[in-house]
Amino acid sequence: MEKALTPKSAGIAASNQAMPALTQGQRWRWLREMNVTIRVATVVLLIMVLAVVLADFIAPGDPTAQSLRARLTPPLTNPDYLLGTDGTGRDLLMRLLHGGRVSLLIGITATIIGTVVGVALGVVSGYARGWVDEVISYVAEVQLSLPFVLLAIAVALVLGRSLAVLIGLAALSTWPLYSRVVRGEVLSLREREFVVAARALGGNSTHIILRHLLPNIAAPILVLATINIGRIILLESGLSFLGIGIQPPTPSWGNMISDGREVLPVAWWISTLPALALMLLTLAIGTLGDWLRDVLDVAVG
Amino acid sequence: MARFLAFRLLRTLLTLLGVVALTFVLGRLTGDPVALMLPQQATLDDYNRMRAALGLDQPLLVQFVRYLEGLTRGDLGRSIVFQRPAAEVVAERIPATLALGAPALLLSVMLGVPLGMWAAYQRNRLPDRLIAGLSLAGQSLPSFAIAIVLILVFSVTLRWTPTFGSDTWRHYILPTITLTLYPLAIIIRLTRSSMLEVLNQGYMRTAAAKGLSDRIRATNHALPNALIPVVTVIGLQVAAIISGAAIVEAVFAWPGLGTLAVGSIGGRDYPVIQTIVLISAAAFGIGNLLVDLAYFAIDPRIQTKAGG
Repeated sequence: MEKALTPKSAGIAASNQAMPALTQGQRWRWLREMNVTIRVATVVLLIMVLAVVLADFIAPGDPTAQSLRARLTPPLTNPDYLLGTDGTGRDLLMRLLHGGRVSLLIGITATIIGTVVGVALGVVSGYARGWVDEVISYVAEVQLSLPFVLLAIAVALVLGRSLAVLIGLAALSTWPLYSRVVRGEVLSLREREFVVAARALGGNSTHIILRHLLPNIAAPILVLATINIGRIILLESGLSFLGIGIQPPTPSWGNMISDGREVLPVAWWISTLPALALMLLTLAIGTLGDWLRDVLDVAVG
Repeated sequence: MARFLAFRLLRTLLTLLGVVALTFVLGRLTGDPVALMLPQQATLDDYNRMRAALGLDQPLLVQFVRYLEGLTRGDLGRSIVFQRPAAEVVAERIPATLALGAPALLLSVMLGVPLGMWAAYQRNRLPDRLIAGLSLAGQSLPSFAIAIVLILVFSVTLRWTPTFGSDTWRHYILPTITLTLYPLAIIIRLTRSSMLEVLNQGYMRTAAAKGLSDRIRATNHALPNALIPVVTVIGLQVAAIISGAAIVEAVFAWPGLGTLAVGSIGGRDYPVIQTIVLISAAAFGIGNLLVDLAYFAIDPRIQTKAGG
């Protein structure tokens, strides 16, 4: 009698292991595991976010206002233009702050959309299986077989260049990355004892997905989303650089770098400052993503 | 082996068919081609005749089949800007992109695999940390921003390399470096983690117990096993390199596919961008088929699984 019970209780033990309750010590483990690099990256990121949020206080004014008399002012030479001006005398500090705001806004919005769509399709794929899974996986594979920048160029040519198209493209670029990972996780989780038990107890699919599946795949999703914010900012700035993304005169780091390219030999700062800002931002996000991947011990991205 | 390859070939063809369908649908969204072609004073009769002549009055599925037929004959439409077959316009630009992309892919493998291996053997020591830093930078830094900094340092300040163009071998240095960084970073990271996994395997301990030298263990036991996931990723880098080339070419005014693609936006030259998309997808498909072939060389398990 007792022998017959063993596999069952072992199953319950296994399911408990899948969702361990965090002790107080474990809950703050992530803070202690932050090394110097991670702390620097966090501080850099916080400063950049704060700076673009407070742009209107730090450098009030119109980032598209030209001042032909102050053209090509080098940085730190004129107190009115702390970081200098570009070829039409626009204030570079103002443009940097507003450009960063656009990048972060698109990065966050598109990541949210991409995550929701990708996770939803991945869950459906892994949970429903069958032809639904086949179709979703096929579409993901087709998209991943295309160099995305080229697809973006084709779409921009067809649908025109606008913020909505840009955000749509950015969101579209990442969904297969989520759906693949989520599908795989759901496929293995749905056979686990705690899911089978929940179903046996009469839990419907919505309940099982929301209460049992999603909490167990939160870690890889969090890591992917962090890395993808960086990827989307890279894509947005790249497209803006090519003239497909944010349209001038609205500043974005991508189109600012493109603007200054021609005058690089005489006015290095116009391209180099936004390039450095962009590198700092994406490097900080990348560092945090890498660290999260290690701490949460997931192999994605 | 034949069955495995046939299956993979079928998959590749299916994926390509999906890409073709996508370009077809996008093409239909570009606007009414008949309205664009006809002169202003054309009548409705002219319009209908033109529509029928182009086959646009047929059901969408018939149109798609005709479109497919055209593709198999190499008919990819006429470039609106150049007034020549799009296939011709695109083909002229392929060598320039290949001249950047092929060395970039080669370099990223030839540097990435040894660096990744070295990092794994030096786990958590200084070389590992430096290589990890390089890998993180390559993955998270935008190529065109790197390119601008490289131009500023090596072209503008030091005057070692030219800024734009593709005339001499010196022109190749900066664009190739820029294009190599991203795939290099990916390959380093994957080789390192794959190698770390392999080094923990039982057969590595067995090999050590047999008294085999470090070198033999590394090259004959660890490397072939560690390379299996790396090979998969090399295939995927083809798409990354083509995407990267579009941006890198724009920075260095390189006369390749990327510059052509970006240039096609202004002239609304859909046939050209469509051709570039299809060719890239085909290149990606071929790259991944080559990867499948490479599997046979390095992973005997596949041969047994596929049933010989």
